[in-house]
Amino acid sequence: MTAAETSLARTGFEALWAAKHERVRGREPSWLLQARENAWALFAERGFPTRADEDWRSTNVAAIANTAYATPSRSLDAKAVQAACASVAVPGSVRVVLVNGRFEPSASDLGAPQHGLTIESLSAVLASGPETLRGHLASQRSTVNAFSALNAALFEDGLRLRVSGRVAIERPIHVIHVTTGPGAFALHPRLVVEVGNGCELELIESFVGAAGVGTAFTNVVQDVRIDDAATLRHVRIVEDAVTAQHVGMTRAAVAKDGRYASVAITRGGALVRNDLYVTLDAPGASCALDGLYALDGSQHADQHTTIEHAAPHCSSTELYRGIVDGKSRGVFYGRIIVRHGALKTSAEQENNNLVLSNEALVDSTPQLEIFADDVQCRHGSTIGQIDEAQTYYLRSRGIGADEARRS
Amino acid sequence: MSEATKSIEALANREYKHGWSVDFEAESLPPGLNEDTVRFISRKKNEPEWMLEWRLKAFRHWLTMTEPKWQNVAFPPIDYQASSYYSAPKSAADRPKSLDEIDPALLEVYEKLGIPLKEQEALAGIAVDAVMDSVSVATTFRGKLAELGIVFCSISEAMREHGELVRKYLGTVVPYTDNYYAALNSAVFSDGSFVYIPKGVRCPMELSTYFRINASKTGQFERTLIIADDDSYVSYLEGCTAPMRDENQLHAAVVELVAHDRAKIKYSTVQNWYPGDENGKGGIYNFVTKRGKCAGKASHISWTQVETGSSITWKYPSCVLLGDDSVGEFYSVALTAHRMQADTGTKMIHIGKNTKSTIVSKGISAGHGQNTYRGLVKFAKSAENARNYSQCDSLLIGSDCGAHTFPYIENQTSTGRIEHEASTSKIGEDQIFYCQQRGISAEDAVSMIVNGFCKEVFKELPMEFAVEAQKLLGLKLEGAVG
Repeated sequence: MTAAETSLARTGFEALWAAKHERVRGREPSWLLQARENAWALFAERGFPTRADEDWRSTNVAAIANTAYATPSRSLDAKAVQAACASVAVPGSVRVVLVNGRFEPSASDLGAPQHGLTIESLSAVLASGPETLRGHLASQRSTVNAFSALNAALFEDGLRLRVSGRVAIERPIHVIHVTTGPGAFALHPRLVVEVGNGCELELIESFVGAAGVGTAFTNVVQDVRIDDAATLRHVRIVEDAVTAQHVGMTRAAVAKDGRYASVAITRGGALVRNDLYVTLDAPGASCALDGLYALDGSQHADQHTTIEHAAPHCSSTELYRGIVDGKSRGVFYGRIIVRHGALKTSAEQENNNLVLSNEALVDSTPQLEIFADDVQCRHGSTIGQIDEAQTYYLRSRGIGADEARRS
Repeated sequence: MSEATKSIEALANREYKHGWSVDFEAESLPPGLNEDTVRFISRKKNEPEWMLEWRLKAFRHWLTMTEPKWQNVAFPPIDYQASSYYSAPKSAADRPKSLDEIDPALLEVYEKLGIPLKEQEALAGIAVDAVMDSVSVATTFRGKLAELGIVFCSISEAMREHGELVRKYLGTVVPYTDNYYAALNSAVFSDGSFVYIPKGVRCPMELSTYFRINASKTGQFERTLIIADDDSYVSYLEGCTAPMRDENQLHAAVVELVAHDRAKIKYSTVQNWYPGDENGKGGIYNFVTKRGKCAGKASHISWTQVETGSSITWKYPSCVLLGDDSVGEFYSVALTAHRMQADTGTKMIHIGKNTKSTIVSKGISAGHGQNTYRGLVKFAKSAENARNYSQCDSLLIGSDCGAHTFPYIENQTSTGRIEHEASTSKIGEDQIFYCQQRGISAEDAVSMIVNGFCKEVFKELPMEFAVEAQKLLGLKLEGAVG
């Protein structure tokens, strides 16, 4: 793609940026404006990635680059949103609903306040005490590619979840991201999650489209900080509408003896790309990344994970499984970096794929980059299909072909 | 651009157009690379017209290309205009006269490897009249091969005597457009080997460049072409375990293999070029394009490599599995010590039905060495029931080295099966302790463990090579464990 074409592809967002810039200038603190300007400059310089970029060799984002997106509609079809939320409801959880990237109190059910837990919309924090967000937003730690830069420049709202005071939050927090409205629109929600020393939290996120939603492009960024001996269980389920485009960047930093356990499930969306970057910053930190992608039709889902072992005595495990059918394409890219001096590291990674049709496609790229010697690292990757002997075994016992395939 | 620079440039261009010409009688070329260099080389080698045309096309294409940057190795930029692209083999007068003139460090290595004295002299490039009768040995072998219809000669000779064969196959596996170094090689390659095994012939001996008379001076741009016709078999050995004296820093060779129906080619390499000193100064850049085409049904290509030298090794011996039921194999041991860097692996491109491939890669990093396995396994849509198994293990010795694994796996079939495994670890202290307890020194223990680690690959090597390769590894790791 030539420079001219790239800049052409950006024009839709240029108008959005100009409007955004106008709106926030003078209203947001200068450091935040500066951060937005820097992020925009980065995006303007790089443009959308092409398949010539190593990180994007399996995923073509031309569909996003060539669409003129509007800002999402503010009018709320309460019934449709209700129905969408009900379809993914998790019993016993605290329900926080974001509609088109904005916190929607009327659809949420925060229940009784829980000791040590604060749930706030990002716009509320920005209005009342933006300084507390400075560490996350000014550092640009999560701005690592064109999409996260776009989010850093354009984000409107989102959530901040904080746990402090050495408590374990009993009820899981269920954040439901609902997209609704006609036409093509883009939203850039942002989540900030801070789990303080010795605390525990379970966070479940669902991404769903309300009935009749147009082409929603969700470009979400999540900053996660896990302090000493804290634990975060993070479940992320992409069940967007079949027309949806979804790009996500989760950046997690884990401190001493902290643990990050992630489960990423992708079922919906036409084009999905999830980046998960975990840094194990201090001894004893660990993470477990699990994932499942089940694709059909012409879906394309790209799972990119990076685990950086930056300190000694850290461990990580990773297991991603994929099932692809129809003409879908599943991509797994898993990178493990062991930094110089990160001795006694243990890292295990596995990716298994099941291909169910002749036209489905799987790319698997597990990578190890190791700069220390006293380590145990291993990765494995398989691509295969349902074993005929197994289906034969089941069918010979009276289980139908379809059912045998499913079981 | 200022007016001054513009006019200087114009002048420079004009001078180039009319002024400079090549003296075709000269024995070597001044540094520099342009179309005249290519013409000079082609003329010097009495090549047919089509060959010159091909070289020129390659050169023109090379000019449009840029150096690749994606590799996981670092080196200062290469000035392609600064080296000379042709020099006739050194006359006896220029060579060292006896072993006394050779670097004692080199001699010590020869000694440790147990290389006979006469062979040492040959390797060090000493002008000896009767180098252990290699000429006569080679001649005897060639006579025997010729009886079977096997062609084994230098590629220049092949171009003159088997022009049609060379023309039919040259560049069909690695086209000159393939990559930067392959294009450069196609334009200026000096010499190399040509092997043709006729239908149904099993080559009775292992072919080795070692037995080819002019093999020691094939130069930095070597080109090898091996064709195995239907139902034939050949095992080819490249290189030598002993360190070679060489003045060229950049080695950009191209190796092409073609296997027809049911033919098998086994290609083994032991590479031990000068790796530079302990601080990484000097040393050879080994940037090689090697690829085999399993063109026929049930054809079989097997690569085995033991890479222990060169300051940078950057190569991916690959197999294109075109014919149904064809098989590709890759066995590799790559060792990086001191400041050596290696980015090596393979590509297995499955196109035919029921094609199979196996990859076994063992990387050993010591000192400040950086070792990268990079590979691609691709099943095209047509590759029904294709099967791949890959295993990449890394062994780390010392806390400053690095081991990296970048496998790419792409599957477009619903019937293919791919398995990939990789592991990275250091030599267990308990293992060394166990050996030491039984009176084995730490160094010997490391050597034993490393050889055990590499066993799967060594067993693919021809017998003599395997023995030498084991000794070589032990030698290279000397001092790696305190």
